[in-house]
Amino acid sequence: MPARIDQPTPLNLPSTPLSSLTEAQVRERLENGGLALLTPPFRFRIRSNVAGLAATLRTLYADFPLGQEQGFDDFTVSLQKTRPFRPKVHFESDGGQPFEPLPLSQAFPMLEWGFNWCISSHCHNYMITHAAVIEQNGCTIILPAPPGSGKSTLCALLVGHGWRLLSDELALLDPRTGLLTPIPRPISLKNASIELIRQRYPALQLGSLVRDTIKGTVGHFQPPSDSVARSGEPGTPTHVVFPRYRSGASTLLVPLARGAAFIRLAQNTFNYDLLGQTGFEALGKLIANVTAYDFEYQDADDAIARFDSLARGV
Amino acid sequence: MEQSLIVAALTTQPPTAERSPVEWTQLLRQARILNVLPQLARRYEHVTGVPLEVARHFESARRIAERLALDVHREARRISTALQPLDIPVVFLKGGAYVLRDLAAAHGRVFSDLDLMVPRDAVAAAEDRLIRAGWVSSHHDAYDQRYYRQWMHEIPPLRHLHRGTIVDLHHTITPPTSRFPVQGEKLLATAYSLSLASFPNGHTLGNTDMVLHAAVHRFMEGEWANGFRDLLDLHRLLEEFGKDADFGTALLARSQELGLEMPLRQTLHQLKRIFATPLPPALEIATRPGPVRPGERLTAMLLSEALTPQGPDSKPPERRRAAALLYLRAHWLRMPPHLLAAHLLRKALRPTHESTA
Repeated sequence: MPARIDQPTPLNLPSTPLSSLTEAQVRERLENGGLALLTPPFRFRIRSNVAGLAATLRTLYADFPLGQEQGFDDFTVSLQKTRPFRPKVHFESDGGQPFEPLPLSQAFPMLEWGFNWCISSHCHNYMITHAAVIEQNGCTIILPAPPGSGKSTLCALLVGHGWRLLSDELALLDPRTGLLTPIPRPISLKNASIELIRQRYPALQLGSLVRDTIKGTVGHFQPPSDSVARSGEPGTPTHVVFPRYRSGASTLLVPLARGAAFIRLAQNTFNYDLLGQTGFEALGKLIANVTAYDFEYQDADDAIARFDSLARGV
Repeated sequence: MEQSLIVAALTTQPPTAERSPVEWTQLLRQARILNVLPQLARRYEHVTGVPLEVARHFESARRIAERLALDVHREARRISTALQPLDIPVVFLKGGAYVLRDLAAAHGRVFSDLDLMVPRDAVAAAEDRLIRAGWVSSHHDAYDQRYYRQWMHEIPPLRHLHRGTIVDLHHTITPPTSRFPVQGEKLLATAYSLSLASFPNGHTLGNTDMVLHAAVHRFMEGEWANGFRDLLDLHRLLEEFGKDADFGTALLARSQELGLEMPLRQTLHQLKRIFATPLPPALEIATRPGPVRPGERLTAMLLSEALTPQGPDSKPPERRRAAALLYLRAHWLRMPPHLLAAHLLRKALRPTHESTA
């Protein structure tokens, strides 16, 4: 049974992009039957009464196709505002309520965390690793890392520089084919990284900026149109690079032994344990086919140059 | 017809793959809400024509269930080994038992705790052995400890230090203070030996007792999130055990012996109503009149309200009211009024961070 749906199938035929709707039309759908949004390989039906969510979605998911009304939804998610006084938002998806309610201002980040929760807790047909994935010239790099290691910052630096975004947060590996399914949703940055990326790449659209979350200030950048358009093209992993941002570090790319790379990738894989033998074999095959590095960086230009040379094969 | 989609898919064999995209969406959502997606996935395992989008969710759900079954076998072996020196029967209950017996009810069943039963006078020694093997009590409050040990049919849950698995150690299947007290010895006398070389002390309840346990548990339970799933278990158990021509008569006789006729009658009533479960003739006759006395009729109404699967988007207030009343009723059934009053007062006066009863 094939596990991957990279191409449109009769059940998820895409239509026009989200940007073809006006903000009012988006809001109308959110508040009524729900907005069917294709973020390949999944289709979410989003329901919400939160004012302002329509505008943010319309900016950050502008290029993503709308699903047809009568199509199949992988997940139905709801983000509802309750209480008129000091309102909070509740996230719910098909009976699952993984989060405590959050202040209204954090509605969009909560929706993103909710999407990630849906995928990482329900889609074990993939091996799901906490990692960004980027590609250039067929050089497809997995950047696994625990939060705070500068993974998303590095991802944004490279994507702004022209690399294709496959994913900012979840690497979806099909255990049967060994290929990575792209899911190029918005890039989430925190604190000082937001300003860094904003100044460096003014063309990258910052769609949502929220202060005082548990992660500090959180911002989401729109994924490049080209990456969204190519979301049907899976990636063949060629490198695994474990990034670490360290203030004052000089750029350092150190080859990593396969055994160590295997263990560290497993540690960043949500469902490694659940997949059992399938996971062990998939990870083994992946590690056998890639080159692994430890990467320490501080300077953005240096970091980009180093990755560009990886893509050129030098 | 939204309402019967999930029941039809779970009871028709083979289930149909002729569904519209909207129907598939509804079916998947209902299965997630009712916590029976892995069971549904098992039913569709060899059905051709399931669209790719849906098939991958089934595949994912089957992986979860397969992993759980593997964990249950491993954990059961560890528990049995830890209790081996006591030379007592170790009786696995509910989900764990279904998995270890490889019953149809186990196919795709997911659960979090492993329930087991030992002779009452061996509970302290068994707890001691489990603690030495790495399971520690998860309730630290002195009142909770006393509540369980003095009044309940189980000790406070034990959680393994490293693996996080939870074991509920019982000495019988209902609280001794409840309206339906059952003596553990009677259950142990007819326990079923798993006859496994790797853990010779491993048992489950006998077939009739397994059904009665599931029935009385569902009937006295105050928590309804898994009500439908528990009823589905019973449907599968009766389907499977009912193949034995004498099972109906045996179940009826055993329910009288253990004083569990009423929970059994109520359960069978709901099974017929929701799953149209085919019942052996003896049970068919016994349940034909349905609930007669006013109290039983009211209970049946509340149970119907709480157990009937709803469409994924409907949350009728009647259902919440029924659930609230059933919660109160569950407490009412667990303890006589004077104990209950003392317990609830105690709970109300104390800031709680763990739910216990």
